[in-house]
Amino acid sequence: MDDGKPRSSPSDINTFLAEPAAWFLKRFADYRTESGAAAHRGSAVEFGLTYHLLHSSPVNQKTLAGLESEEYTVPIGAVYEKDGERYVKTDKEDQGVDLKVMERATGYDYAMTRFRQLTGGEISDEIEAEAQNIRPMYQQAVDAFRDTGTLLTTQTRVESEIEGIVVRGYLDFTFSGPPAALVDLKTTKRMPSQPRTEHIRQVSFYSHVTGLPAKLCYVTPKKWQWFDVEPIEQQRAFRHIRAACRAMRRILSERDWRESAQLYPPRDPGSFYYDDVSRLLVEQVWEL
Amino acid sequence: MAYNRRAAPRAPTIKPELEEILKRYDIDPQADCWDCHGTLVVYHRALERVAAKQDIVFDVPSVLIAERDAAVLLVTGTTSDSRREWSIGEADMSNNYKVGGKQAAYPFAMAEKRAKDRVILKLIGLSGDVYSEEEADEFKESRPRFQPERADNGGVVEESPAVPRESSQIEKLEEIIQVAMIAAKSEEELENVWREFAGELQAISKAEPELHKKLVARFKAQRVTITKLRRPEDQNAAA
Repeated sequence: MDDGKPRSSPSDINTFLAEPAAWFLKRFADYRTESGAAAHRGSAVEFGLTYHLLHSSPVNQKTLAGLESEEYTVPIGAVYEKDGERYVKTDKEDQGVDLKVMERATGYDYAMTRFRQLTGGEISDEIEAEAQNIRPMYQQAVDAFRDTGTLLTTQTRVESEIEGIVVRGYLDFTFSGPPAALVDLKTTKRMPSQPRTEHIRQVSFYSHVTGLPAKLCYVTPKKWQWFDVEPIEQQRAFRHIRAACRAMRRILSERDWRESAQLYPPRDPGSFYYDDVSRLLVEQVWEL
Repeated sequence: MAYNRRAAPRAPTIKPELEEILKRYDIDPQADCWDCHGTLVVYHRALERVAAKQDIVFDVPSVLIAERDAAVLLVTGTTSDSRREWSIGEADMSNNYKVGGKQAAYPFAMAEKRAKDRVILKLIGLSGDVYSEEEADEFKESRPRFQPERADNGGVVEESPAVPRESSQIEKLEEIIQVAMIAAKSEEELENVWREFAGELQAISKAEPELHKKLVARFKAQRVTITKLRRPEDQNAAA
């Protein structure tokens, strides 16, 4: 679809708007800030919740086919139906086994396994602190998703061209409702009173492409909360996305990115948009 | 960041006739050699450079002793004007070849290096006056931790700024390594710095993990700088 056009993602657009200097490093120096333990914690909780949701209700073939892509695989132990028979997925090649001999892991097991994979087995105070958050957050997520209706899809690829930029993202969940809706899960240590702007922006993109209304579910170790993203908020956020894409396209068409970069000094090098390496790089590029 | 300058490592004192030979074969006394208790020691890499420039061809070595912890090789080398020399290289882990900690031992490779270096020194008339760094652990231990760079035109570039005197030993070392990495103009140079300080980096990672993290971050940042941030005209100037 992109035909050589520049690519982006909701996360990339958020980076451009919040910390353009980090975006310049990503785009032109090919340096991506390493994800911290908090980001891995969110991915792990979502992974565990996905397994739980798949396991707790039959999954239809279309959903299963949609899940078995490069980007996402059905967790081992997930239950699915095929030709009227129930199966438990054991590995990529296996077509089905006797349910009685299978021991099933829990969603929490999957969450912790994914967390350890993402953190590469590294040990640090930060990683261990986030590991402690996974069980309570997973539990809160399970409670929050009890009445969401039938799970239709998970990790669905969503793509659209906006102002000459091909934007691609992955939608956490869609549910049948009624009404059908797309859902993005956010884990956080403190519950916000309102959804964060960058999260609204993200789901607004998904909503624009799919036509589905958007919901955000925030979970902390102690509670959960749903937020409906109103159409007017979505439209405003989408206009912001379009403006960002126009600006990005203009910068990408410049001959020397360094001149444009000087117009966007880093706003907060201490923020999570930067790691130790990118902080050294911004010192160089912007002569801090 | 500003640093106090410190004195450059003392250049070795060399007899004029020896200096003339070194100059003839493009061995820089300041960048390629150092003085170890009155003995002039030369880097292995400098001798390899001489061998390449003088078109010295080595025969397949004869293996005189091949044991798990010891190797003795006989190596013969011939110049383009048919001058021929042979020599023996030995590496015995119970005697003249010590490896420390978790470092892997390569007695055959070490014996080969020693033999070749001896042949090269014989062929260029420096045998007995100059020794290869590979000859003895004592030579390697005395090697300066920081030497002036060798410039492409054969001259010596000014050494990088020194570190603040008031830092602790490890912090001082960390700053030296940082400066060396920042001075690297190519990926290869950067990798060489990391290799040269491998032992020190291992010690820092055990004693001061946070400082080691800083050095790893600097290494990664410098690699991005060299490969992605320099303009094409800067890359050409560095090459």
